[in-house]
Parts: sequence; structure tokens; C-alpha cells
Amino acid sequence: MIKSFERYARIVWTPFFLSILLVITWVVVELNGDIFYQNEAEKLFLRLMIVIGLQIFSGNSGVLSFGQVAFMAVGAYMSALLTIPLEIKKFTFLSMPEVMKSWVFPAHLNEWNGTTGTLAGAGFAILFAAVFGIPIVRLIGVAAGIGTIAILVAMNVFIQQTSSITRGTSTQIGVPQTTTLGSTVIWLVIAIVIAYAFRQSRLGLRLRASRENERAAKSVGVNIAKERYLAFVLSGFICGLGGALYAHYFISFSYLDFYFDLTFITIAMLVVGGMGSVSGGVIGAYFLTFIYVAFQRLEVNGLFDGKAPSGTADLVLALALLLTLIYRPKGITGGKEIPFPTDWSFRWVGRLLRGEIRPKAHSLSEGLKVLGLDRLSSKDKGQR
Amino acid sequence: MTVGGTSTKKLVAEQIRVHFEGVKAVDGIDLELEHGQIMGLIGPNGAGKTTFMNAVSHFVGRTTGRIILDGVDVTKLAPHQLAARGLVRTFQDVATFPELTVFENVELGALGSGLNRRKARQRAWELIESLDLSHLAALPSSALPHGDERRVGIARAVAVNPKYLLLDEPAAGLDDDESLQLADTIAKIRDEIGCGVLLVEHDMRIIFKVCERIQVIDFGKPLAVGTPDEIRNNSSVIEAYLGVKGAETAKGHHSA
Amino acid sequence: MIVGSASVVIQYILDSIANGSLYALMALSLSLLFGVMGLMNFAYGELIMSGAFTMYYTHSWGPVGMIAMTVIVVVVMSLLMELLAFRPLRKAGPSTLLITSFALSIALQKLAYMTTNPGIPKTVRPYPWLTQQFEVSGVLMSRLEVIIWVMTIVLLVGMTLLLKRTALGIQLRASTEDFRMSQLVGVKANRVISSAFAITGLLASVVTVLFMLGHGDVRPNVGQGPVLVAFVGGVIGGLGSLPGAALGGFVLGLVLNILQATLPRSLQGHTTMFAFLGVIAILVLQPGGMIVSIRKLRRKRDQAAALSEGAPS
Ligand SMILES: Nc1ncnc2c1ncn2[C@@H]1O[C@H](COP(=O)(O)OP(=O)(O)OP(=O)(O)O)[C@@H](O)[C@H]1O
Ligand SMILES: [Mg+2]
Repeated sequence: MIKSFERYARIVWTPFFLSILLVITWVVVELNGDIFYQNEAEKLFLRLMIVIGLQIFSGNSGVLSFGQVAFMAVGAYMSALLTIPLEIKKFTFLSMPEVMKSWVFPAHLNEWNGTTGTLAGAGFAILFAAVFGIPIVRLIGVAAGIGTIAILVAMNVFIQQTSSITRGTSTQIGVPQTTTLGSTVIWLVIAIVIAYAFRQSRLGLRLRASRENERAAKSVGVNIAKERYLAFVLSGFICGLGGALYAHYFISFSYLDFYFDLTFITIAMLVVGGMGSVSGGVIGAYFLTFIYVAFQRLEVNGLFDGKAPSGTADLVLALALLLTLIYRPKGITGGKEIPFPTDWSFRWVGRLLRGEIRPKAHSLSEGLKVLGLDRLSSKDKGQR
Repeated sequence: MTVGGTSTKKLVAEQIRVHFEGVKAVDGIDLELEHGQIMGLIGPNGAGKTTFMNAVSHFVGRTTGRIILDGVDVTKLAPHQLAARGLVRTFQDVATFPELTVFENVELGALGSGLNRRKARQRAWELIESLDLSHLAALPSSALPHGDERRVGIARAVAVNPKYLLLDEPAAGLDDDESLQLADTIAKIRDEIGCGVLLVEHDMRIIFKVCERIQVIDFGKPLAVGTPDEIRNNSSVIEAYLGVKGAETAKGHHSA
Repeated sequence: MIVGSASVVIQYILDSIANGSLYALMALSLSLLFGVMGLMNFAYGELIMSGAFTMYYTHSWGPVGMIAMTVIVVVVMSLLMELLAFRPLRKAGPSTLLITSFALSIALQKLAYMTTNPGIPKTVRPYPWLTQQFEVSGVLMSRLEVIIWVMTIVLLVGMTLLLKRTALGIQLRASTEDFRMSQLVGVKANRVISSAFAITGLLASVVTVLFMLGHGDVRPNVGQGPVLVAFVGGVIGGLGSLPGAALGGFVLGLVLNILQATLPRSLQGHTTMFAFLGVIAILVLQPGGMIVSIRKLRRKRDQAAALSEGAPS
């Protein structure tokens, strides 16, 4: 009885733990009431959304993408386009092509609630990811990096230059504010569950295998391009979700919000936390946000007499990323998920003190329990 | 697409050529591996054994050649498709998934045979036990000693449920005891799964212990093919590869 | 404009050649580092940026002092980059190097924001003597353009000689072909890589001077745009091959400039978008770039010729 409870508890442990962390953050910020911290928390949450999207693709496949923010932009722009009240968009999108007007302008869109608008934006992001995924999953290493950068830049140029659909370099007007801190947290919890389930699933396992050794993955029948593609599209969905939520929280946004700065910060979060795990993404996002906000406060309020020059926070972030890459390339978590409480062992503290830290593995019995195999193996033995 | 012939239960490679810029690594090798047969593929270093195996499993592009698996032309299929159809291989450099556990490594093999998650785990566990790896199951495979890692590589390949299993130097880096055990393991795998095995190996004791047929290649070209006895006494094989001593080892084993 | 259409075309092409030449030089240095250590150096743009700021701050020293200082600063920056960021990651894979260069690029941009007071717009004051246009048989050109052509040719010839004739060049080329192999045969990794960064710095400083004398505006992200285009050009031409990359950069710069001048206004803005989308296609269809496909074609032709010769006998 207790054993089977533990088995299920193990399965939901990581997403549960991470969600609790988010909820606590939300409650604290709401109670605190300071708008500055609320906005910082919302930024953290939305960046975390992108980080999770990135983790699904890059973390599992090992193919780095600089382009996921482009799907965020799709989510933001499409969701905004559909939900801006008709009375406003009639004037702000005068020169929109007629074909597009026919499905962007119907009056019934005015009745959409926040959820519908958000999902519609994410839906378009899926479409885009489905198209761009076709070439990207065929690329490896630097080529994939360049390919995804190309997506990001092309999207940015498109938004800037196609003012009839995107308002070009102007900010959006009249986007309804339907996202709240609370709704963001709910969506984030969903995203974390999806990402974690994906990582642990058969598909996720095969993708992680291909990350570690492509040849070997092929030799056990993994169709690498196909598995990557599914991850890419799923990742596009999560990023689109983040974009739509972004649009409906910060309501006036422009092409500048979805470019290299955000790409950089989200990649930094994932890499610093550890690409290999969802926990890594969450921990990295929290860690860098903490550093960032602390230094931002230093820029504004100063410490003792001198203020830190503006930009210090960004610079510190970049340095954190560089140092991580050099000294701890697998990130804070080393690519592992947060272990189940009964597996927490503090033996390493003693080992650390004695200076004999080395990469440790779980004991066999722990490992089998994690896999839910303790029963399986004893049963098999019984049969013999 | 079925290709004619009476006994179609075999893996046929016809006129395989692999030319790299100027280097004719494999230059016109044929192979017939019957279901349930263990066949040795031997030759000096750089003879083209690995490249041939890569060509058969389509891990390298072929200059010419056809592959027919149980009467079906699979020349154009990609490596992962071949694996799903039962043409499974191991690698000379082992190539386990270093950060995944031993269990996950083998589970991935079982998933590759099309089993669902539950069944795959069960099968992986059975294999791990039968290959005596259960005390290592929860370790990341990068933490294993070399010999154990090789066995994980083999377990993973066997988990895919191969019809034809290609093993590239499975005994490399093993000590004497381990090598002999490995020979038994290979025979056992064949007996239990009934697959055909193509065994590339430099250790002649293993080759002559378990193989029913042996093919010798040199400089990417076929040198001889036949039963162990024929190969052992083939003068050109002795000259090119076995050497007088090697032939004695082989004979010695025979008389033992 | 009442000029014959032929001379209009010539005018466009002449203007664009200067543009293409700068991209050729940039793509060439990107490809050098890529070949030698698998690094796509995003932070190349920040070499240009640091050069641009140097020019701004040393403008009053007169052209010689300014140029000398720019060359020194950019080369030193390039060497520092290698030493501080990339050397500790020598064993890392290309993807890690790419993130590193990305982080480095952002860090340097932010550093520039912090230290140069971006509130005040900065320009490198142009030398009218250089940028003033004059007419040669119906076509307008400037001294700067001519200097760019000459410098590009000099540098390309110089690079060719360096790569073909000197011991260092042979080592560099060997590394570009196969880094691990060349280490086996005893090429000193640190020396080769440092030299590659020094050459990169040198080329970057020339590009900066020529670019800034024409464009003027000095911003912390001044290098980002050009580097992205040079990336794309290099990929199109073939990053694995130095002449391929240079050619790719040149052609892309040329084509972009011509399109920008000739396309209807509504489409002008989208030209770079198409370039970037095109690069994705090339990465998938012809990962080695155009050079590889040309080589392949040639090999096929040779094979066909050999076959048809062999046929009668
Ligand atoms: N990718 C490649 N490019 C060029 N030449 C290659 C390539 N792969 C293999 N070769 C060459 O092909 C020949 C055959 O190599 P292969 O690895 O198949 O030999 P082998 O019989 O497996 O040797 P060993 O017993 O040492 O494993 C060698 O001369 C090798 O140098
Ligand atoms: Mg070999």
C-alpha cells in the first residue's frame, strides 16, 4: 500500500515540486503587492515558459535552438490580432490584406475569453513550428544553430517590414489584458507537466538517446528526424503559449521584445540551470532572475554611495553564462531532475568536506525503485 | 518486393563497394548469412571489416551494392528502418548512451523492437539478468568498466530482437576469461533467439570456437570463404592474415 | 534621373561591389575560425563595435593615428577573446562554442552600453574627401569605394599568399581541413588558433575602418547586423572553404544591395528575410555550401567523361 503510494508519488514528484515553487512565488508576490516585483515575477514566469519550451526541444535532443522566441512572437502577434476589439483593429489594421481581414475581423471574436485567445495564438505557433521544423530537424550542431538564428532574424525582419499585419515598428494598441499572474502560473504548471511527461516518455527517452549518441540511437531504430520534429512542434506550442500570455499581460509590445535579448536570457537560464532536465530550466530561471533583479536594484538604488552603472545586470548574466559553460557545462542540476525526498542524501556534504567528491550514482535498489522495477524483478525471480 | 530464390531466410549482401575519396575501403564483397548461423568476418587491420558492416547496416553510403533481407530488397532503407526490420549491429567503439543508465540503454533496444513501454522494460530486465548485469542496472553506462560496457552494448542490440546481428569486435579490450565467456554468450544468444550472427573479431580463439563459416577479406576484397577447417588450411589466408602461428592457434583450438 | 538605363545598372553594380567586398572580408574571417576550431564567432560583430568606438574616440588624432589605434585595439580584442573565453573551452563541441560566442557578444555589447553613455548619439565624422562622389564616364563613384575595392583585393591576395606560401598558412589550411589530424601531425594548437584570431582581428579592423568611414553611426550593436549577413553569406558559399565563404559573402552583399536599390519599396524591406530563409534551405540541401556543389558537379562531369572514354574499350 505504502509502496505503491511511493511509486506514484515518485512519478509526480518533480512536476509537483516545481509547481509548488511557482505557486509559492506567486502567493508571496501577490501578498507583497509591490508592482515592481509583480512585473518581475510575471517576466520570470513568461521567460520560464520559453525556457521550458526550449528544454523540450534542445534539452532532450541536444540541438541548440536560437529560434524559439520567433514562435513566441507568432503566439503574441496572432493572439493579439484575433482578440483586439473590432472597433480598434478596424482602424489600426486599415491596410491588412482582404483575405486576412475575413478571418481576423469577424465580430464574434470580441466574445473570446482569455483562454481561447491564448490557445489560438499557441495554435498558430504550432503551425509555424511545424513548417520550420521540417528543415531544422535535419541539421546538427552549428548548422542547426545558424538555421535557428536565421528563423529568428527572418521573423524579426518580417514583423518589422509587414506593417499591414504587424504594425511594423509601432507597438500594439488595444490588446485586452486577460493574463494575470495567477493564470500564468496555471499555464506554467501545465507546461511543466507536459515537459516532464515528455522527457520521461518513450519518445523523450529515445530523443535523449539520440542526443548522447546518434549512431547508437539509429542502431536501436530511432528515427531521429521524426522524434526531433515532434519535440520541435511541441516546443513551438509552449513558446507560442508564452507569447500569447505575454501579449495579454504587457498589452503594448513590439518586434523588439522578441529578439536577441530574450533569446539570450532564456538560453542562459536553461544552460545555467542544466539543459538536460525540466528542473534545470526552472532552477536556472529562478537563479538568473534573482541575480538579475538584485543587480537591477543596485543600478537603481545603489549600495552605500555608488550606483552600479545601468547594464550591469545584463553583463553579470552574460558572465554567469560564460562561467557556467567553462566550469560547469551541464549546469547547476547537471541535467538531473530533483530527486525524491527519500533519495536525498547528505553524505556528499561529508565527502565534500573530506575532498573526495566524485560523480555518484544511485544505489541499485534506489534505481530500481525509481523505475518501478523492484516488484517486477522479484516477480520474475518467483516465476523461475 | 521479394527476390526469387529457394531459401529466402538469409541476409544477402551483393557486390558491396565503399569508396572514400580515392580509398577503396570495401571493393566488391559478397556475403550470405543464414538465419541461425554464426559467421566470422576476419581480416587484418584496415581490411575494411568495419566499413563493410557500416555499409550493410547503411551507416555509410555505398558506392555500389544491394542488400536483401529475407528475400526483400532493403538496399534503400535507412539504418533505423533496418534495425526495426531486425538487422541490428554493435559498434567497435561500443557507443552506449553514456548518461543513461544500463537499464535505459537496454530498454531503448527493446523499445526499438516495437514493444510498448511495459513490455520493453520487462524484456530489458530479463536480458539484463541473463547477461548478469543486474547489479549494474541503475548505473549510468559511462561509469562501467570496459568489459561490462561491451556487454551492455550487446544486450542493447539483442534487445532489439535481431534477425541478423552484426557484432564488431565484441571482445576487443576484454581479458582472457571475459573473452571465452563472451564466446559462450554469443552462442547462447544465437541458440535462444535463433538469429544469424556476423562476427568481426581479431581473437581467433573466439572465431574458431563459435563460427560455422568464416569469410576473410583483405584490402577491401574477398580473400576466402569457407568452413573453419578450410580457412585454417588456406595458404593465402595464412599468408595474408593468420600467419603460421595464428594458424597453429586455430588448429590448436580445433584439436582441443 | 535622366541617365541611360545601362549606366544605371552599372552604377548599382559598382555601388554594390563595395558592399559585397566588405562582406567577403567578414565571411572570410568567420570561415577561418570556423575551419580552425569549429567556432561560429558571433562576437565578431563586437570586434567591429570595439573598432568603431576606437575610431570615434581617436578621431581627433588624425587618420593615421586613428587607423593605427583601431587596428591595435581590434587585434588585441580578438586575441583576448580567444584567451579568456575560447581557450578554456578548447575541448568543447561547436554548439557550446556557439553559445559562448553568443554570450560573449551580448556581454561586450552590454559593456559598451555601460561605459559609453549611449544617450549621446555618436558618429565617426566622415572625411568629405573620401565620400564625395565624382563622375567617371557617366558613373558616380567615391574615393572610399575605390579604396574598398583595392583593399579587398590586396587583402584577398595577401591572404592567399599567406595561406599558400607560408608555413603558418599551410598549418592553418591543414587545420581547416581537419583539426584533429593536424594536431596529430604536430601543428601547435595554441599557436595556430592564436594566429587565426590575430588574422581575424586584422581583417576585422580593416572592415571596421572601411565600414565606419562610410556609415558613421557608432552604436553598441553596430556589429550585429553586418555579422549576421556575413554569416549567411559564408554559409551560402561554404563555411568549410575560405574562398567559398569569401565568394558567398561577396555575392550576398552584392545581391542584397542591388535588390534593395531595385525592388519596389514594399518589397525592399523583405530582402534580408528572404536571404535568411534561403540560408535554411541551403543548410539542408547543400550543407557544404555552393563550393561543395560546384566541386560535386565537376567530379560528376569528370566521372561521366571517364566512363564515356572507357566505354568503347
Ligand atoms: N570515413 C573514411 N574516410 C576515408 N577512409 C576511410 C574512412 N573510413 C575508413 N576508411 C579507410 O578504410 C579502410 C578500412 O577501414 P575499416 O575501419 O573498415 O577497417 P577494419 O577492417 O575495420 O580495421 P580494424 O580491424 O582496425 O577495425 C582503412 O584504410 C581506413 O583508413
Ligand atoms: Mg574495424
